[in-house]
Amino acid sequence: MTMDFKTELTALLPRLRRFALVRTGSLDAADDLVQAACERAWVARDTWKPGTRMDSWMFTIMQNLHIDEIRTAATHGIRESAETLEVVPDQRWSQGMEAGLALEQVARIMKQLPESMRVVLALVPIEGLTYQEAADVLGVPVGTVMSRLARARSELMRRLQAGAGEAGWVAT
Amino acid sequence: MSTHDWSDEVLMAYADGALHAPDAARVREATAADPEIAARIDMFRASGRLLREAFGPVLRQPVPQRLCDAVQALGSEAVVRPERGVRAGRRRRAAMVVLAIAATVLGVMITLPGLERRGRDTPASLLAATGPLPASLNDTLDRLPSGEVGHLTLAAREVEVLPLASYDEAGVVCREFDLKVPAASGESLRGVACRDANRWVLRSTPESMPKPALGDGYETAAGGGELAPRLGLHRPLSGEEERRLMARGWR
Repeated sequence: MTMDFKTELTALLPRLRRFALVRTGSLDAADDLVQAACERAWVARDTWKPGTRMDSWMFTIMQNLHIDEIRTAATHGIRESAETLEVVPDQRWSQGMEAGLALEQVARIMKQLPESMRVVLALVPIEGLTYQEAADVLGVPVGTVMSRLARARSELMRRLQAGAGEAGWVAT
Repeated sequence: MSTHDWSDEVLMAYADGALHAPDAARVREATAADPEIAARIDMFRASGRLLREAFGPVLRQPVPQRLCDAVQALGSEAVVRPERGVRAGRRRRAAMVVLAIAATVLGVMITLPGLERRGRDTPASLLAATGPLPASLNDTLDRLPSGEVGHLTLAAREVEVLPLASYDEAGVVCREFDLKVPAASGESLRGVACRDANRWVLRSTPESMPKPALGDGYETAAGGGELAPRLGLHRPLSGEEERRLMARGWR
């Protein structure tokens, strides 16, 4: 069980990093979040059943950790939240992404979207969870996930097209 | 029918292939009749595609070695991760708060140079103060592996507890731990509690630790002990040994 757990967790690391990157806005912060989540997962490993989806289980742990950290930062008067991410340019955000202007724009706009929108975009279109699985991760009704997701995708495309207009190119 | 007759949620679900067949057929009909609906569905499809393309390459990046190592080290040698967010500063205040809590929670009197003296801080009063731990701290020591940070409320304050190591020597099971108030970084208190009648009883006098013990770098569970040797505890259990002992209820 121990080897299975660690093997599966290791195999999942690239996806956990991607999820964390979308959530935190930088790879450094993403790696910290992933490591913390792995440590918490180890403590709670008896609650994961081999053969079931570890990705959803880990996303739930990461989501709770991320919320904890935002709350802690708020308690300490530290602005390490979405608002900060919006205005701090981070070159590493776009590391490894395709060089296309549209894709860079997508990454940039993602950083500007509210927390509630980013997380549903991370879970469903990017990580491929169903609406219901995302609802389970977030602990909200499936209808809430669908309405947030529809708004988030509309907003993403609206901003993308607005940016394209300014830059003189059109997203297709 | 126009786009006003179809909610974005339904059109998105159609674009994602998440609608049941009868509903999907109705949307398909509407799409044929109304280009606006078709455009809306295309927008949802494009958003999904762009997001996957934008973030897909992250998967092909090599995972940092430290993450792979951290996973492999889970349970063997407890690792304290660097805490994000709160770092330097406010040490004096931290010491005050930690000591005040220690005095309240553990019933001990402690003093540091430059800090307000609190009552009788003689060794006798310190020894007299040892005894059963508050329930929340007791429960935390019951279930938290060494190297993991636990959060609890003591004396109406949020407190972090970091078990450093466990010992099973000379017929007694003990745990060494640090106590810290996360509202500030720096000082923490270190104590040793041992099993007695199925609960943790404070054996040592908690001592203030001027050097940061939580959140400022990596520290192994076994490496934390400076207090335990004075109580005759010299061999910290490995992560696996500790886990087995914990699973048996520390017996």
